[in-house]
Amino acid sequence: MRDLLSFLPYVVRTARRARTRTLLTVAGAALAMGLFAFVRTVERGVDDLSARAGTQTLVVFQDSRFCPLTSELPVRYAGPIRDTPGVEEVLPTLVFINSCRSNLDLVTLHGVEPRSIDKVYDFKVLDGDLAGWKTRGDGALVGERLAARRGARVGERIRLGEIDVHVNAVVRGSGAGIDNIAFVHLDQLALARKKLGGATQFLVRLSPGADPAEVAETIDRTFKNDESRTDTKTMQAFVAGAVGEIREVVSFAKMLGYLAVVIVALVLANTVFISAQSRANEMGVMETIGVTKPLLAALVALEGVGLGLVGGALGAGLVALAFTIHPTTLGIEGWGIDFHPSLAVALQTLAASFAVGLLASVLPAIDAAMRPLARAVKEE
Amino acid sequence: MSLIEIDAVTKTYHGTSEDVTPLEDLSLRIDEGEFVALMGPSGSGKTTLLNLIAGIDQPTAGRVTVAGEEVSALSARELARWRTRSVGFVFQGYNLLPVLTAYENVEVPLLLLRLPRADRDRKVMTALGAVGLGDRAHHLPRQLSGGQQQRVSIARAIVADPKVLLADEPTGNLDRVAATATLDLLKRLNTEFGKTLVMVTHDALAAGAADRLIHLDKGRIVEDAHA
Repeated sequence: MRDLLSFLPYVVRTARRARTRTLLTVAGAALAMGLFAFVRTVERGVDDLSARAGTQTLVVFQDSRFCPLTSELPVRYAGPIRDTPGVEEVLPTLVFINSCRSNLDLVTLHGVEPRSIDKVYDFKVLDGDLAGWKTRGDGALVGERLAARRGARVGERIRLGEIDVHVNAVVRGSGAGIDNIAFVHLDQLALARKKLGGATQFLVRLSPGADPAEVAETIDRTFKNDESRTDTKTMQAFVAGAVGEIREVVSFAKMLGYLAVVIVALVLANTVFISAQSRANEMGVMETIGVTKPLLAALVALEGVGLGLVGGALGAGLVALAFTIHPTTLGIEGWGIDFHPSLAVALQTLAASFAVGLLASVLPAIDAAMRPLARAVKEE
Repeated sequence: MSLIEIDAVTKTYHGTSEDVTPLEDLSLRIDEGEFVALMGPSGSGKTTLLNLIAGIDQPTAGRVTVAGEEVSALSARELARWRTRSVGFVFQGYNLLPVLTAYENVEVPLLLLRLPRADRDRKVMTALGAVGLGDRAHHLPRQLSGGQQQRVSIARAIVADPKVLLADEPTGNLDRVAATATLDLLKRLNTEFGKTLVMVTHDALAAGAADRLIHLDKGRIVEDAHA
């Protein structure tokens, strides 16, 4: 290792000597590893949303409806649900979203009863106050990400969806998707949407120890013959259903990401191979001076790993920069999948770049090390 | 006892159509402090012999011993270490690493010997001073003339203080003035510093600097004369 580090300036300057080739290779690696980082970021967003969806909260939805725009249940269902054994609290919610399809400008309004909200949701008020919102009919609690995307500040009036609201507080939630929701008073949203007495869904917080499957079955049985049949799932299953399609897209994108990594490995291998071939005589001279064949192979590998790492760092850096400058949330069926720059993704990208660089260098390194010294010295 | 002993050495290269034997049953003794010129037509086996002495190539048969070390019996790793310590090589085309400065080129053998930085610095500057290029230490090879590059390569060859210097057509790429300066330098290393020199050359001027001329033809010694 010490010998390898001693020759680091030689490796770096050799890469700089063939500037255009090095730049093109690094650019290719950066693009491919950037794609890898992007796909990992998206996948992480989906995983994060799913992980934050708990199993001790149930969602009661209208049966056979998959989009909040089409599910309609009577608010009066809240009473029987609250009386179901194992239920601790119920929050009737009228949901308004600007689109059920995948979109990058998701606006989700949840009309809820102010007195019950903090019994069902766990969130932290980052700015403003919760008590003020409870007493102000046109007030809104705006999720942190939505506030950032819309530039909403406490005390301002903004238009969200189709209603004007006064921002009482900006909140950060521990549950799935809360950071992309604006909570408003149920009556105000119902009035605006002409859905008085209606709700899209009910959020049900279970008592400690209650069996979610049993409670869900009881709720659905209760309304089996009522005006609207219900379909009750845990929050986790509900979110999993919503993001199922996007997961498939991500899986496909992942394949493309891996393919890009393979392509960059081949490009790197080609570059390192040409570089090592063009320096056959130089390497012969180094061997004559006393550089061992394993060190020679390591020097070739160092070039490949270095190019891969620089490309990977650039790609990961560009993706992180893009998501920092432009915070992005992919909306799907009312759920927001946040794309955050993350250290974990950056490290994964660098690790993948290292592996790709090393893999790409194996053949050129072996080739350089296997070349007979007498022949290498002759090659000028 | 001689510093370099070549005993019944044969070297055969196996080709696809036919085998080539540039050296055949060759024996030779070179004493410490000698300046030997190897001469002969192309294909006579001069460079092959030089490569065998340097451990760059291995004999098909026979034995090569340099300073008591049987070079032909060393492993690749041992050979690499031995070359760094015991042999300095001067090439016709200078063969400096183009991305490294003169100082860094001369420093390479010392990096392999893992000497402390201060020792390396002292030895590099001494070697560059000995070849008259102390003031060109931080120049890249492309910023130096051919003669200067050859002097840097000589500095690199002597920096680890080897007993033997091997030179393959060291004046082949130089004009007359630079060639004379290079030969003077090699002669000085031989007489003042006691280096044993084995030089392959076609050039009568270069051969004139040596005190022993060995003529090779078809892999055998045809003449061995002291000047």
